Parts: sequence; C-alpha cells; structure tokens
Amino acid sequence: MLKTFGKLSTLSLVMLLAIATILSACSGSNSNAGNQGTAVNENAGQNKDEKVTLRFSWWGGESRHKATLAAIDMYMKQNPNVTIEAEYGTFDGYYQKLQTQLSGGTAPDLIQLDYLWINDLVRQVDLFVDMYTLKDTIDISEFDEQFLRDWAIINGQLQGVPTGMNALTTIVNKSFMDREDIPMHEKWTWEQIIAEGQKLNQKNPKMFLINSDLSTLTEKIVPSYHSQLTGKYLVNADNTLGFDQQSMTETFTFLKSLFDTGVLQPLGESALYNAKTEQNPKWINGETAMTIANVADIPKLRGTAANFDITTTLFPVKENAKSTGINARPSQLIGINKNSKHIEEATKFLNWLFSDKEAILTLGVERSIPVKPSSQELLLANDKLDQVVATSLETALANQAAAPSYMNNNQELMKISNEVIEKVAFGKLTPEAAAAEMIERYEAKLKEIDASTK
Amino acid sequence: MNKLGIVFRNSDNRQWIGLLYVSPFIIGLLVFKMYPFLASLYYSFTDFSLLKPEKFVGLSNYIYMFTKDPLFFPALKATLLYVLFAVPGKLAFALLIAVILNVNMKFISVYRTLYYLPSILGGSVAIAILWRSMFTKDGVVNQFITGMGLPAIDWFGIPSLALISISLLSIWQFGSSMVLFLAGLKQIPKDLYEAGTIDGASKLRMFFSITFPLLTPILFFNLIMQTVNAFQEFTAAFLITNGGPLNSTYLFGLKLYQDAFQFAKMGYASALSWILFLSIMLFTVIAFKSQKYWTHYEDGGKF
Repeated sequence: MLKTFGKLSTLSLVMLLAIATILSACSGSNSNAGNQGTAVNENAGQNKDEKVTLRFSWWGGESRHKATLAAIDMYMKQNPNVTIEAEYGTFDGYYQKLQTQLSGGTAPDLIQLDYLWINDLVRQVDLFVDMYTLKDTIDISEFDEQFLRDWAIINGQLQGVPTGMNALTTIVNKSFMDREDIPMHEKWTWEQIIAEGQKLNQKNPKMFLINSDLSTLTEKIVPSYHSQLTGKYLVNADNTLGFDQQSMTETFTFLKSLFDTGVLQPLGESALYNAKTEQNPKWINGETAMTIANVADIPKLRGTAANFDITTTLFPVKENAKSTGINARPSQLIGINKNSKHIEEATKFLNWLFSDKEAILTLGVERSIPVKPSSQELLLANDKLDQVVATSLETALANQAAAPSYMNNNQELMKISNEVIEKVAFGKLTPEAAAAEMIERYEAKLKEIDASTK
Repeated sequence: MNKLGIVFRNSDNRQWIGLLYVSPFIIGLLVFKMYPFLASLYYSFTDFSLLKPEKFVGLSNYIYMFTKDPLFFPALKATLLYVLFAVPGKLAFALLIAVILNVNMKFISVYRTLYYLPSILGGSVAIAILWRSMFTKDGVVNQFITGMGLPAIDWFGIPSLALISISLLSIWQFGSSMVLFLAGLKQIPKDLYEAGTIDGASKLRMFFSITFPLLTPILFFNLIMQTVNAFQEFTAAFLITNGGPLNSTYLFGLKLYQDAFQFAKMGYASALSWILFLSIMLFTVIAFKSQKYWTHYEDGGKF
C-alpha cells in the first residue's frame, strides 16, 4: 500500500508542479468596475499642497527614457508636492504587462498606449478617462479633430492624447543607390521597384532592393497595396470585408512577384529579424537599398547603418492607384487610467508635457514629431527638428489618404494575415488559394468578434 | 486526501506538529498552486478576457478548440514533435556526458560544473538571442559548415528544420539530467564491474548489462521531468522564431500565451491549458504504467 501511495504522491506532485507553472499566469481579478465617481470627488476636495504620487509608464529606447526622465524631474522641481514614479522599459512585453495591470487594478495613472491596441482594449470595458471631459485642465484645441477621430476617439470618448505623428515611409540608403547606380526617384512606383529590384538581384544575387520581414508585409505593404489597388483597406468601417477573391488574388500575385523577382529577401532568411528590420545584416552591411518603415523608425534604422548616407522617399505607390494607402497616424497615445486616484494632477502633468516650452524642447522628437503645430514650430525655431524626419513626414502627409477603420488593427486578424502571407511567400499556396483562405478566415473571425462584443 | 486522513487517524497525536512545520509549504501550495489551478478550471468554462467580467459559457471553449480553431491541432502537433526530438536527445546527451565525467581525474568537479553551466544560463533571454545569432545564415554554425565545404543552412528559416534547431537549445541544457545520472552512476556497486572484468566482459557489454539497467530508475525520473518541461516549452519558440516559419514552431505554450495576453481570451487560454495538462497527465500515466516493463529497482520497487 505504501508503495502505491508513494508513487501516487510522486505522480500527483509532479503533476501539480507542471500545471501550476502553466496556470499561475492565468488568474486575475476584475477590480476594474468604475469607481471613478468617488475618485473625482476626492480630487475636488484636494488640498493644493497635499502630497501626490503619480505613476507614468512608457516604452522606448535609451534616449527616450533619458528625455522623459529629464522632463519629469523638471516638473517635480516646479511642483514639489507631486512625485512622479517612472515605469519604463522596452516594447517587448509592455502590452502583456499592461493588460495584467489593468486587470488587477494596479495600472499606472498615466499610460503610454499604442493606437493598435486601443480598440481591442476599450471594446471590452471602459479603461481611460475621456480627455474631452478634462478640457478645462488640458488644452486639446490644437489637435486636428479628424486626426483624433481616426485614431483616438472610440465610443465617442477621446481615449488619449497623441504624442507624435507617424506615417509610412521608405528609408533609403543613398550610398548604396549611388554605388549600384540606381536612380533616386522622388516617388517610386511598385512597377519601378520591381524592375530595378530584379536588375539588382540578377547582377548580384546576395543583394535585395528592399529590406523587409513578415510584419512589414502584414502591417504595411499588403494593406497599403490593396488600398492602392481598390481604394479600400482589408476591413471596412462597418466590419465587412474590404477585399474580395479578385482583389486579394491580385494583391497576393503582386506579393509573390516581389519574391520571385528578388526584390525581397526570401522570408526564411529574414525570419530571424522579424519586427527588427534594423538588425538585418543586409541593412547593416549595405547589401540592401531600402527599408519600408514608419517615420518614427528613422533614428533606429539610421543608427544601425551609421556608415551610410540615409535619406527617405515616399512609400511606393502603384501606377494608376486609387489611393496612396498612406496615412498619418499617432506614434503613441498617452491615456489616463480611469481608476487613478489623482486624475486632476495627472491631467495637469500631461498638459504641461504637451504645452510647456521647456518640456517640448526636452522631449524633442523622442516620440516622433509633435502633433501640435505650435510645438513643431518651437522645435524648428530651436533647431531641434531632425530634417530627414521632418521631410519624410511632410512628404507622407502631402500624399495621405483616408485612415483605415479600427478593426483593421485587430490582433487576431493580423495573425491571420501573417499566416496567409507566409504561405504565399513560402510558395505553399497559390495567390488564388491564399485569397480564398483569407476570405474564409477573415469572415469567420469577424463574425466571432461581432458575437463577442454583443 | 482520503489516504492522508487514514494515515493521520492511525498515528500518534504528536505527529500533528509535523503539519505545523510543513505549513509554509502547504499554504504556498494552496495559494500559489491550488488556487490558480482551480480558478483556471472555472475560467475555462467562461469567456473571461482579462478586462471584461466573465460570463459562463459551458463547454463552448472546448468545442471551439476542437472544431473551429485552425491553430489548435498544428500547435499540438508541433509540441508533440518537439517533445519527441528534445527529450530523447537531451537524455541521451546527458547520459553520454555523465558516463564520460564519471571518472577519477584531476579537476573533475571543475568539468562537471562547466558542463552544468548551460542549464543555469539556458532558459535566459540572452542565451536565446545568442542562439539566434549563432544560427543565422552567416552565423558561427554556418561558418563552420561552409568551412567544411557544405552549403550554408537557414536553421530557423526552413519550417522542418526550425523545430529541430529549437530542440537543440533545449538539448544543450542537459545539466540537471546529467547531475542525476552522475549521482546514479556513483550508486552502482563497484563489485559488479569487478565481476564483469573477471568474466572478460567488454566495456560496452558492461555498460548495457550493468550500468544501463541500474540507471533505469533515474532514467525514468528524468524522462518524466523532462517531458513535463518539454510540453510546456515557451522561451525558445517565443524569443527565437515566434512560432514561425509557417507555424512549425508554434508550440502549445506560445499559443496559450498569445491567446491569453495578445488576444485577451483568458477563458479560452485556460481551456487550452487544461488540454495541455491532460496531455501531460496522459503521458505520465502511460509512462508510469510502462515502468514495470523496463525499469529495474534493486529492491524490486518496494520502499
């Protein structure tokens, strides 16, 4: 008996250990139900000199951390009663941590957000204070209304303040272009890209015109090309499909031709640098001419190709395009946690961050170029506006088209695109079959999302 | 629990003091293991997202998993293949190194420590990134291969190869299995080998007739532990390949994580984790049942 007992207990202990490690991450509590009302009341009765501690979280690189911390120090010197605790790190895992914090009721007061997540988040539950209700404390008059509507207003509420402007661009290694004798066009068409890329790759099979990866294809090239082809993004505003068998087949045929002609590095080779195109040795060593990226990525991509002359050009647009597929988008948003105990103080700080001269100059273009025209002018006047970045954004804005609907950024839909695009790139599916799969899976997922929000 | 009750009722009252001593463990077990364990079982029957209050949905998570989710079976398949590569590879490698290190020579403990190092470092992010750069097209491994006149290989770019490359990372962390094998080797009585030598048995013969049978209990323990770990592998797939290419390394742990924290479907992820739990359980039961056919206990398995 003892023997079986011993074995049983070993068995159960091993099992417990196993499951506990899987599941320990899977618990959470729901303390989010709005107690905002009481919080605001508390605020109203607050004494001016009362000590207040605010938490502010963001992601970014070293230079952004430094600039933001400097600005925070400045604010704390001017407002001795306010202490701001900074919580910063890299982008990896930020969203996962944030969701857990929001779920457990331990999220910071001020939260940097990606516009990509915001719809997925607030579709579930109200999380952030509507900035319009804080109009008296924070000045949002200078923000373009259409821009806010496209990217930051959901359920009729302004979920956060955009920190900077971002847009699709093409970052070009000019040294490479000169060396390989490729013309520098003002505006490239995809047709020209394919012609030049094929020539380049035939001359030297190790070289590719465009440095790309799976996420660039999914997030940038495929939806934008489809928009150039048909004038529509993948999902319409009413959550119906923006594509059909024919348009998607054409888009995938185009995608396949990029690989077949050697414009793009085979996906198997670039897979290791997915979402880190700046780390691809081809880019670092100058064996590729262009990287499709966002304006905000310019410093990063310039950083790893320091030996070369880096400039930008407009995102490629196909001949006879119905739309450019380019649009301005916020680099990030900063939202105020609905459960914050110090909404008033958090708003004051946020307002200072976006309107104080010193603050604007300290932050510079660390969160891309500021949205407010007055801030842009201030940076320009003080020579703090990076010329390459500014020109790149200007060109994109001059050619911009309507913004995609929020549902286009849904993470699950993105995952489907990822998979289908990968199958085309690896030659596992013909463009026709891939288009059919895309339609089937998008429709199923949209139905599912629809059902879950009801 | 029932058995535990019998043990206590039949025992002297003084033994209760023992419970006090182990109470930190018991409390820890209840709070950090039992609670999440049961909570996840409950969540698996709800549509819990991280933010929205949950609603009871019955079995629909499980039904969705088996009938609609296009990634469920690929993830399961990738995980099984991974276990099939990684576990035997790791055990064989650990045993080999343990046998080599089971000699008396100068600085042997230094060598043992050195060979244990990968296990300490292995799970870390830095190693996963190092691994990635070692296996790139112009990485160290490919330079070695091209040096021998063979063509360079995309270790993480070819779907069928990516899983093996990831398994290699796990095989490389053979340290803890190796230490257990070493301990087992030390337990084997010297006189058996002496008798073997007198009978004129070769080294290989002695390994298979003496060493291996006497090591089977340790092998069994290692097998269970490593398989349980392998089923839950996450770091390498997440950091190196992120599931790709073509979902060939989309391990179950990664799927769980994405569903829970990226797609905010905690209820569904809990259901998935229960399926993973049951798979591990099934495997463990089979392993325990099979034990009597291949493991050898000196005392006949009674203790």
